[in-house]
Amino acid sequence: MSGPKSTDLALQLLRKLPRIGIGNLKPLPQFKSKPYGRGPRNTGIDGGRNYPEQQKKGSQPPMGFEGGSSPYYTRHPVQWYYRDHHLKRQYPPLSMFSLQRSIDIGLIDASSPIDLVTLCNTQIYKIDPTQRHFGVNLTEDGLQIFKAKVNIEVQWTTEAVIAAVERNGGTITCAYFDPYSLAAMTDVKRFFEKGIPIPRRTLPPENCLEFYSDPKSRGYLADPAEVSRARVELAQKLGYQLPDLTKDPQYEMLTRRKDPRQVFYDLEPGWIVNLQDEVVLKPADEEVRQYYRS
Amino acid sequence: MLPVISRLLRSSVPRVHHHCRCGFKSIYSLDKLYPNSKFDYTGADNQYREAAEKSETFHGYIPVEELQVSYSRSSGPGGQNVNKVNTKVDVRFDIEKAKWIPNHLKPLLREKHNTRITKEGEFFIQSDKTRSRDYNMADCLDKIRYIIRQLEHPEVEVTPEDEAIIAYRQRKAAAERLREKRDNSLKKEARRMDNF
Repeated sequence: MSGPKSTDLALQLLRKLPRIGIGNLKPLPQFKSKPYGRGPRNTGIDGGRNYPEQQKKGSQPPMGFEGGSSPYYTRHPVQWYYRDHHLKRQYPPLSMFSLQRSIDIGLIDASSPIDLVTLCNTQIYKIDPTQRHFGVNLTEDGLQIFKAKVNIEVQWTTEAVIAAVERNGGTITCAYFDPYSLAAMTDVKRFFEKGIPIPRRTLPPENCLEFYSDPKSRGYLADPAEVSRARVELAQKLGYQLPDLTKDPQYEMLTRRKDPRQVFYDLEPGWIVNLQDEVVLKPADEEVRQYYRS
Repeated sequence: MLPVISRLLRSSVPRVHHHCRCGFKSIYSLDKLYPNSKFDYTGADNQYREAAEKSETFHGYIPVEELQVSYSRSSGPGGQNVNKVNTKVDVRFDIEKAKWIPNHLKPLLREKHNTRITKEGEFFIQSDKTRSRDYNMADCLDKIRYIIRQLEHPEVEVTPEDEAIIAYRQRKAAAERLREKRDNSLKKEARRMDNF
């Protein structure tokens, strides 16, 4: 007359107990790891090393203190002439000579529109939006030898440069890009790899809105009819013949312009470019689409 | 990969331009900001030329291709740059053939600016005012326009009354100048110790 055997009891128990998992297992005492944070180690305020008392006790003098002599940061007085320098926009220069050379050696393709993206991709021109660089300033150096016919979009330029470009049958526009858009434009691959939507470009700040709305500087927000008139006036002022672009086979390329909210040619704000799968994701929700158009 | 994206990623290599026009228009697109305004890339030379030729007064448009422009080295300081760079601009044009100048102004031009006119009947003007060839050309054209516009304004005739007023003012100014000169002289004399 034997009772239930230990194996049967064990099996019965197993039927009632919960399923075995990581959370309900426990190692045998000899396999337990040693308790953490007990005993002497090389951590703590002095790391077991012999530091001076001030560093051990946290009674150090303020940063910049030089033991009593005038600290460097108070030795030089604040000057009024450089106030707000940290807020001013900078436009690193690119000469017309450099642009012509890049086109001649094939680094820049003049048969498609040139903008900041094209220039940054050449690797010979770089800007750093974190250093308050707001784009490219096309300078007059090399103006006399400039012969290329281009559609170029810059952020700052002068009248003589505009004349040199238009004289050769090209078009030039001055357009503003905010720092967020610039970060996307200066390193396009890095931006696409982040997987965030292409930003909606903001309008220029008050102090340069006039420049970008001025037909004389070929601002991207200027009245088209006034820009056309300004082209003729400049040609009459400086004494060159303005070519008829409508007869040019590249007319469509030369007259392409971005929308004021657009950052890249042919890509809309709100789209996400997936490089790995080689797809472009576009927002389907109407409200989101309207947001990017507003 | 879409050509548009591969073009964005690396320096442009000439490739076939696939027309992927997305036609994006936000509320700030130019056709919404300026509803009836369109770009005109024709150069507009023909319409201005016709207007200038038909106009009774001087229109202001100068057909640049009808001018003979030559460049030479400028004068003045500037070292190596001024010695080498051709920034001086000479502009000539035949007055008789210039349809952009109203006919009634041409004899006035010949009379008043005879020093600028050559034996062949060409009007000659030059400029080396600035350091840039383009702006020297602009200066030449500006001078031409100014000269022709001045011909349109009749000379101001000075009446005898005005002449009398001018003469009175000149006498008064001379008397004042002499009075000041005398006063200064007395001041200096008073400082000397001659009549001690």
